[in-house]
Amino acid sequence: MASAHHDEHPTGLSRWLFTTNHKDIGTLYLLFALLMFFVGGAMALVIRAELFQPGLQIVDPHFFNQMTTMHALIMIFGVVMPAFVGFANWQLPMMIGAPDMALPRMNNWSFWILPFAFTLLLSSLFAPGGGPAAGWTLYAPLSVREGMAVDFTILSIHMMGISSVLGAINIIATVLNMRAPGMNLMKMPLFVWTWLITAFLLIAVMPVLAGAVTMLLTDRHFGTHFFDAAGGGDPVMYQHIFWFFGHPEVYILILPAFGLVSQIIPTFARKPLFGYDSMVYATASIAFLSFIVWAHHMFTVGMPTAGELFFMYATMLIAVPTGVKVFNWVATMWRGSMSFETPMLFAVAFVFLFTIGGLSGLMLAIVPADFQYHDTYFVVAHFHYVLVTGAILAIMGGAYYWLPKWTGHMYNETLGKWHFWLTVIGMNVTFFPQHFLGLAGMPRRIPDYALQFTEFNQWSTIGAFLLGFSQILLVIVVVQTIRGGKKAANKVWEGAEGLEWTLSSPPPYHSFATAPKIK
Amino acid sequence: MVKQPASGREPAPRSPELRRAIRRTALLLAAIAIGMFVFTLVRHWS
Repeated sequence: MASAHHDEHPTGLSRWLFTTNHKDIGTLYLLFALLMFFVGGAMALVIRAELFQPGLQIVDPHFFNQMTTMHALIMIFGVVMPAFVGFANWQLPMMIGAPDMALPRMNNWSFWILPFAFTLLLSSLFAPGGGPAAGWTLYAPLSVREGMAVDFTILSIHMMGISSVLGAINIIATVLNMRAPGMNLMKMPLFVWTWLITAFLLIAVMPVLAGAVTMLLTDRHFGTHFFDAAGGGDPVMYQHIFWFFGHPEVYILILPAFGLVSQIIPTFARKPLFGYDSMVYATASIAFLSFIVWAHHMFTVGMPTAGELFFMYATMLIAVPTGVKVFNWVATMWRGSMSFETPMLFAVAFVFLFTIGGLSGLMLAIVPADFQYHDTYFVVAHFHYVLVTGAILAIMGGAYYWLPKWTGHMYNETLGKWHFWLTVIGMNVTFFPQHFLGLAGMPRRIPDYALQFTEFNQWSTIGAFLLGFSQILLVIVVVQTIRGGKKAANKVWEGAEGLEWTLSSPPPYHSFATAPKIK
Repeated sequence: MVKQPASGREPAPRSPELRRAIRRTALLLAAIAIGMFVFTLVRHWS
């Protein structure tokens, strides 16, 4: 139970600046992610506006390249990752019966590094020569030769990496040490499991990215030649190091989404999650496999055939644990007492649409096919189905699911459903035609294109603007719910199971001052 | 003696055993992260 003493906290700005409370920090992460969603989204709309018709209309090609680079960096490091850390901060202590995160002061630091990192990144747009334009992968040698914006980007990536690693350490230390008595690992909610595994991935690979960009920095300014062929270096080595980080990063961006969906579907199917143990093992298998598939991003660099075969088959193997997950979600819904409130709509859409992204990933895993698809819009369609109709839909579903718990008020269900349908239609109109563009041969990362690609590009742009503007509804729903509304019960959803629903809505400032007993 | 937080910003104090366990976990993980960074640089230093 929370005592009056424990509910005391500073007010005003100092509450947010100096907070060590997991809920406050969770809120900060989520609001930061929402803000960056609009910044990164605005950049996407610049890209799509330019691509509405062939020829150069709105921006010059160099600025277009800056937009593609910044859009990706912001959406990956500024939206999806902070949103998931926000969910982890809010939910993990409540789900495992802990009063707070294990390292509350470090938690504050993990968050407050981020606004500075992104201010630095965004300020590079005003640097001489403009922002970074080498793509989010910062491939050498292009990134070695670009202007000072790359230095801004490298420093900001270091800051984001430190923030992520500190957050991951905190999450692992919390889950391993702060569980309520009786909650053994195989009783943990699946969202906790997926985050535990994701945190290990973060600790293993964020330092590798830091190493890669450090070598980039020394190549740029300190006379080394890691990636410079003229000095005995190897540009392809940069790609190997980057993707050794980059592929596990893809799973960092999706495993917590699997966890969110695995919380939502059983609640609205009013059945326990089908195959809990297999879900845990599938998550761990995906995490392991993510370390041995990196070179499928670079099949066309001229690898030995044996290497291509290894990475092709290893990549295809990921379909097995992923298939287990999709099967389990469907089996959870099978003959359940289903109802379709907004969080469930997002979760069901996730299962359908993420699977489309997974299947196009399998197509890309086939080496001879990848030679055709590589660097085309098919790849753009694939990873947007995984990240937008995957990660982003899960984040939105999770927000609707727990918003009543966090705020103590029910959100507006009608507006929520409008938001869902406009978002899902917008996403599909934006990204589905990009499959056809890629298969027809339209390259990615270009501001201009041949005439025959016009119609599908126009559909894609119309969808993007629908998707972008429908997110105003999300802001309206969130603001309305924070400000007031129908009082939410402690157990907001009839079928919800878990410790967080035993607390009041909104929960006390420190979740479980006395640890609950788990049977 | 474990200091009681004055402002309520932090949760109630933890037992010394729990504090030690958290510290041990955090230091081990930090060592892994630093190790991965150093390994990435050293591995490619030639």
